[in-house]
Amino acid sequence: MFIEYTWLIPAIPLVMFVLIGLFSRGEKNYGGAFAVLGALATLVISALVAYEFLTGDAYTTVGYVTESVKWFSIGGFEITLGYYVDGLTCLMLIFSTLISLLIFIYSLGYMDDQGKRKKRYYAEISLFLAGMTGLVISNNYLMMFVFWEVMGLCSYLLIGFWSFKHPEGDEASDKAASAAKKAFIVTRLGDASLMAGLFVLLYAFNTLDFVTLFDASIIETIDKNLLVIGTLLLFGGAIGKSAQFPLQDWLPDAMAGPTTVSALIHAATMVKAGVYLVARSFPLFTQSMEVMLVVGLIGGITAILAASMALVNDNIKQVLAFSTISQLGYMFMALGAGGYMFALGIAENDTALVALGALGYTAGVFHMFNHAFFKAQLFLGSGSVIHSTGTEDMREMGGLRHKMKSTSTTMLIGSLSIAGFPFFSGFWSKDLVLASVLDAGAYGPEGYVFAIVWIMGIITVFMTAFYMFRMWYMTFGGPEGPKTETCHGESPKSMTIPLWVLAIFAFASGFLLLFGLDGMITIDSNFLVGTLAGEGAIYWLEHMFLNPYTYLSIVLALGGIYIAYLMYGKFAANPGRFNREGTSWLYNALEKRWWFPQFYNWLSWTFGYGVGKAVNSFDKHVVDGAVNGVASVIVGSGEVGKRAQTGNVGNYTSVIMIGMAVIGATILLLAHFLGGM
Amino acid sequence: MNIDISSLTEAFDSIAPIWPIVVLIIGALLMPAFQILFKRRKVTAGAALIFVAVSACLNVQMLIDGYTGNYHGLFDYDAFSGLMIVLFQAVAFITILMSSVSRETTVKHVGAFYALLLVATSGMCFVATATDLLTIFVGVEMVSIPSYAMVALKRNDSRAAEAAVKYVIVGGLSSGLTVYGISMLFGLAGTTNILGIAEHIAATGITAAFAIALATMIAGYGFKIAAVPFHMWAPDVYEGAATPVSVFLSTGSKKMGIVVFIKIFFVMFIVIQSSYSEFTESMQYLFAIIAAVTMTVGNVVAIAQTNVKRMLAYSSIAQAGYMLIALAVLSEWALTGAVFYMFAHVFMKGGAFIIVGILIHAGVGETLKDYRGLAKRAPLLSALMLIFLFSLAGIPPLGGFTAKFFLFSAAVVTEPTGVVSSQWIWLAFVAVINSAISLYYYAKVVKAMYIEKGSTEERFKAPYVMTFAAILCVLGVIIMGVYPGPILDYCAQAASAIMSLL
Amino acid sequence: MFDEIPILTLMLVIPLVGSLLTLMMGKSKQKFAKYVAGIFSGIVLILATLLLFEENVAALAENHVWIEAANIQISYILEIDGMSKLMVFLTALLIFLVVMFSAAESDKPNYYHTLVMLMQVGLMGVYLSADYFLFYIMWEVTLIPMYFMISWYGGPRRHYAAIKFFIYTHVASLVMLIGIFAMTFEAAALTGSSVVSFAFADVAAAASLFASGFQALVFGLLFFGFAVKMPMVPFHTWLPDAHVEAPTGGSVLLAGVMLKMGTYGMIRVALNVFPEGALWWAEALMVLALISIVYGAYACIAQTDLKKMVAYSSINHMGMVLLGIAASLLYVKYTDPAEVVESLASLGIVFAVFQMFAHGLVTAVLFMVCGYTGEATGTREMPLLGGLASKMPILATFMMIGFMASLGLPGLVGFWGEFGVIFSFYVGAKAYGHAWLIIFCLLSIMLNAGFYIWAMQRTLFGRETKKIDTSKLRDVGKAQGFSLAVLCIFLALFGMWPDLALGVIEPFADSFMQIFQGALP
Repeated sequence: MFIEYTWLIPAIPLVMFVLIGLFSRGEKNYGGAFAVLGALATLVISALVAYEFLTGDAYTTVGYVTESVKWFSIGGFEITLGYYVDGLTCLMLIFSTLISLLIFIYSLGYMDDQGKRKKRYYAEISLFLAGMTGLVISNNYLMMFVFWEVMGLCSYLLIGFWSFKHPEGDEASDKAASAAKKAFIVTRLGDASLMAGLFVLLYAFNTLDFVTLFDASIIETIDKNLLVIGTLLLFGGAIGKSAQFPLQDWLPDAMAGPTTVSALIHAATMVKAGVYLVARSFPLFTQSMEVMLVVGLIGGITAILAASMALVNDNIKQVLAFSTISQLGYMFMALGAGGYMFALGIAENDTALVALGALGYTAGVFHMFNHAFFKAQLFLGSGSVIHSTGTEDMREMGGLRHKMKSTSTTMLIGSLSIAGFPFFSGFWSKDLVLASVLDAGAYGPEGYVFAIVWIMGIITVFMTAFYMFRMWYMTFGGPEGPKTETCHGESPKSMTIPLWVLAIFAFASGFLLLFGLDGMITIDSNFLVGTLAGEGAIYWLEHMFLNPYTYLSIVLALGGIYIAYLMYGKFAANPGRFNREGTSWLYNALEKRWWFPQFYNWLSWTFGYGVGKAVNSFDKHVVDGAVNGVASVIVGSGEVGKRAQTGNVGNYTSVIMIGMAVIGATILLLAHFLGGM
Repeated sequence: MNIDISSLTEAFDSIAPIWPIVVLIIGALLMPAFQILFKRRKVTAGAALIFVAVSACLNVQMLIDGYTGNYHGLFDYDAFSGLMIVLFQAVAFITILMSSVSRETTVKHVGAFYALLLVATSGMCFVATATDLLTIFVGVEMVSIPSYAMVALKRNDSRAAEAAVKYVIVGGLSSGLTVYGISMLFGLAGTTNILGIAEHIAATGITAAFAIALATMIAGYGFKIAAVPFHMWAPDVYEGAATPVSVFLSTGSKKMGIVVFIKIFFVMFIVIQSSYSEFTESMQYLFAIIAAVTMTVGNVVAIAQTNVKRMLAYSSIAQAGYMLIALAVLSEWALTGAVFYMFAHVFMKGGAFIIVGILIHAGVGETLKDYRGLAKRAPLLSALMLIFLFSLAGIPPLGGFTAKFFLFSAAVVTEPTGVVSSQWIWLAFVAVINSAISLYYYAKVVKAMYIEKGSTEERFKAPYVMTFAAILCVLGVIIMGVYPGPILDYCAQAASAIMSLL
Repeated sequence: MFDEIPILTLMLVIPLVGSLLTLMMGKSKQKFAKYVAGIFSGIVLILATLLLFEENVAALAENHVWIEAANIQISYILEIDGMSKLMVFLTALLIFLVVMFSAAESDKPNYYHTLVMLMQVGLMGVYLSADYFLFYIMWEVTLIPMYFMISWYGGPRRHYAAIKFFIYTHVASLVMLIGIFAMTFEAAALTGSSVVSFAFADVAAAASLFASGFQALVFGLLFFGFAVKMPMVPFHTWLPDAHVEAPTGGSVLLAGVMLKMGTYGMIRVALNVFPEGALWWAEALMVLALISIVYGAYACIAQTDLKKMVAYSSINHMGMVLLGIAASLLYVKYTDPAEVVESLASLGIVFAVFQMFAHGLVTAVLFMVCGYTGEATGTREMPLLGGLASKMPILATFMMIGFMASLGLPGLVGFWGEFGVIFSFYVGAKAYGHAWLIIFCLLSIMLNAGFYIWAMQRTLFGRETKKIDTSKLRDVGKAQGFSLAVLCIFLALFGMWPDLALGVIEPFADSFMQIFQGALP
């Protein structure tokens, strides 16, 4: 009875977007109220839909509910509009709408001083929510792609929210503008690849509806090469959207937008879309192990790379940005490893292996779920800090824990969670991820790759713990920094309440695993998501605590926290010692983000603008030059002919005689040689 | 008026074929009398007009009735001659209208002027009907000699005298060449009848003498149509002469030249084709080259001109080049196109010259500079000029376009219902490229009139008669553009008449 | 519903009357010219909209013998089908909006509207006529008003631009004319008819009889004529000049509908008459299309003049149209006739036409906003602009919508054109055996995003420019705002519901391709 109204989930925020755009006027506008109401309604409907689905019988039998109407038809292909609800959808809907709602509420306080621009802000975040929810409920790739792009647009608009008339002046405006540009173009690169993927799939399947595409019997009949190419191209889209290596560089710059936007992008929407895409396309991806290897490897590289860059960064938001990238890396790791085993299992039809694969899938999605909460919490916390201190540079902060009690406490919870401190949500999912990656390492010819990936992952655990607590101590611990004196103290209720709510989730969301969440987000050999029952608390506790590697990661996490405490909490150890006061090659590399920004600048200026300039001058001088050349030749010869006309009768007559002679000669010759004479 | 033509033709029995011409000659003889009696230019002009009109009516009547007749094997009236005579009479009509008011033409020697004009016209008509080299020659001279005088008869402009002298010298030379060629042919074939000669050559073969004769005659008559390289006199003379005379020369005597080419070479080559096809083919290429060179030189040099009158002179050289395509292709369809083109050319080129004449008459001047901002000063005239120029450039839906459409298509396909032959496509390309080039200098005039700002904006009054003549031309241009059917039919008949000679 | 009235003729006559009326309105009546133009173009727009939904189009055809002499038969034939329906609607819409947009035109407004209406006559003629003689006449008729519009209302180098446009395109038409001669006369000869008919139908009847070599050759001639109009690299250099100098309204019509004449003719004439020749040229078309796409996109990046950038982007997008055509050809050429899937064969044509329509709408917005930016700030040089978004929010919004639509953002009409064309090209290239070729299309997508976003950054965002006086900048006025809003609504409408257009195109494309394949040996 509710599922029929799934389409309302994206529709409501969309309507809000239009309403705010059209009717909200002036300084004190009701944009915020509209947006929050919209988000609330969306959350309610999502909850109802999820509830009905999870309690309905479709959940256990078919695994999904879908409805669609004809959108339009291209030639033989009919493209539909509709919804596709299964366990994954429900999960995504719930956390993205819930977090969005909290962020919207938080914005009421955070963006209160923005005057006229609030209208634009609330309109755009509503559209953003519409994009995400629409993406999640889509029943086919094309519809999904549309919302995918809508999100791209919104991220562009919101990152560039201050791209003109920036409160901090022209410099900042320029920065925001180019950050927005970078975000759009880099993700666009991924989108192009995704689009190509859609072509391949559309060509192979003659449709893009999930129902058909995820039907094992139909997949059988498809040319494997097409599938490999298609899925790889799809993954290209995920790389762009989820800021994976090598396209991760736009995300740190995207911090130029308001912090709430960053929270939205990192926790609820944008970057989760990439993970969702892979999770959603699991049936297709698992058709070849190679693809899954690529996914896992990319994940691993990204995780460690991003974490390393976070180690030295002094901008509170950028640290969080890097942590997001690296956490996303974990998710892809898990999906890759799971898919790898899944594919292997299907190939050798070894059900146990398939089950392990499903576990990896669960781990990936579960980590995405947890990450959403603690990352949202962390960003909003940092937002609250920035709001009160007016700076993003952690070196100017410090000692804030006294002035901003709830912010510091909640952020501590968030940090513990992301660092993987036992029983905090991050701990459960992260160890699940590492466990399945390690499993994958044991199987198949290319398994060793996952062994390497696991090492990367385990190192990342340590780094994560370190940089998160480095951040926490630099901000809240230690002596008071220059900006701390001038800060406004704790933020208003509209900001702290969401912080607390999120903190609770950040701590507790992990326990859902013990209460059968895994059943909802697992996948069986017929590619049906969530039809299996949850394993139950006992199983998971055993699975976790009888596994020695769990303790390894715990130790590493604690070690990271402890070293961070020594360096930035207790100042017992001077970090400068390790990087020769910031002169060491490694430190330099990390500072320069492994030279990715330079690389991208070089790329765009040389292969974009450079070639463009070359083409342009070629156009001007060669192509157009030829045209004008011909014209001037004709005109010039006209002048010549004019001068030949002397006006002297003598010449005229002689020309006539010569002409006649020539003609006569010609005729004679022609007649002589061509016959007749 | 629908008189039964047969009664008249019987009345004139053997003279019948040429009696529209006779009317003109009578008129010519009476002109001085009119001047003496009435002293006024307009009256004389009116009289001349009446004579032309009468002869035109008769001729049209004969044409419509499809009358054919032969006069002692010298003249032969058929659809072709009839149509050409119509054309020449139209030219005379326009010329008279203009000259009757123009400040350029003489007021003292009106009688002489119109006498000369009518004689020249009758000469052209002679050529149109002639079937014999001698009659053709006589006809041509009947046009040339009066036109020398007409060029000279211009008021207060030294350029006229110079032009006249040049014209006489060059004209004399080419007449000489022509006679030389004719005499050689007579020596060869023992006859001056074109068909006779052609058949004789076809029977006996091509001799050096024949070749030389051809060359001299191409040169001699090439002078009339101002084909390159015999064109150099034309710009000077057209520029120097009074504009009505320029109209007469560029639209009238040039057409007569084309007629001569058709009557002599077209016929000859086709006849010879039967026995010496290669020779004919080589001649076709010769004419194709002449045509190509003529149109190119005409157009390219026209670009450089700053004097509109002179520019039009060059453009009519180019137009002659277009018409020569007919002689290169040597097909009935091409001939149809050429004849149609002649008519279109009379209206558009004549019209353009009329406007130029009006502006000179009104003291505006004849250089591009003087044309600036004309649209403000004389909207109607500029509009007319615009139409004439675009028609000359071949922009639809105007006469010039349809004419080019038919003529150029003949280069692509020899006969409407025959398959496409790639032989002359290159000529078609040269032609279209040329017509694009021509657009450039026509557009320069348009730009001057419509886009550039003039030094003055004060209006001036144009003589009604001239404007009327211009409007007649515009009607001609537009009708030939949007409803060319009937005229095209007559052109087709004319062409088939020529073919039926063979 | 129009069986009594000759509606198609009205489409020509109404604007003609309008142009004559406005032409008469000199002196004091000048300022009313826009109302007359508005009313007349409005009526045409209504008729065009009705036509769009008219099912039984065959009944609307008009056929009268016009010139019948010396075994030449030229007829006045007007016909309409799926493709021309859209083009006619597009023309009517843009003309009407241009009239609205130019309501502020103060310099000789009556002549301006005369030219606009005259243009409509020519354009409607091109899209409706079904006789080569008539077609060619209309084709040429469009040149003259555009020539005057550029050289009267244009920018500093307008004379150069105008004459270049005039002669360059005229040369192309003349070459095309030779092609028309060849095919019409040859057709008559092959069908053995005693009269040479210039009617589309009569010539197409001979499509299967033409010799292969002849087809290839004459297709080349026609193709050149159309390629210059499109314009296709390397015959495009008249376009940037013309656009930079033309007034806003002129640019809108030039890019919005005139360029479409090229691709329209290519489908309607070249493909229709010379299927074999078309196949012979298929790869060449593909290569040229790809060159146009990539070359155009790269050229855009280097532009500093907003309008010039948009002009080059037109080259890129029209390249897409050509690519769609090439896609269909490739598919048919390289698929075993037994296995040809009709829907795949016509896919390319469908989206080529859709892209024509989409580009018409999008580019109109682009030229309006760029033109307005130029008029408001006094310059279109992006380096001189910046931060306009705060001064002119409405303009900024429209510009963003336009740019987003043009770079193919889903939900706006541009996306479906792009997506469909590239997909059809993927199908074609797959048949051809070189699916990787779509990389160039993806590159073009990237470059499009690149230069549009960068242009926005340099124009709307970033620090507010100090280089020009921004103190008394005025945002878009009512008239311009109206036109832009209407266009944006259409962008969204066809973006959300592409079936609206696809439904019109598809029947046409299917039957077209069936005939096409039928005429193959």
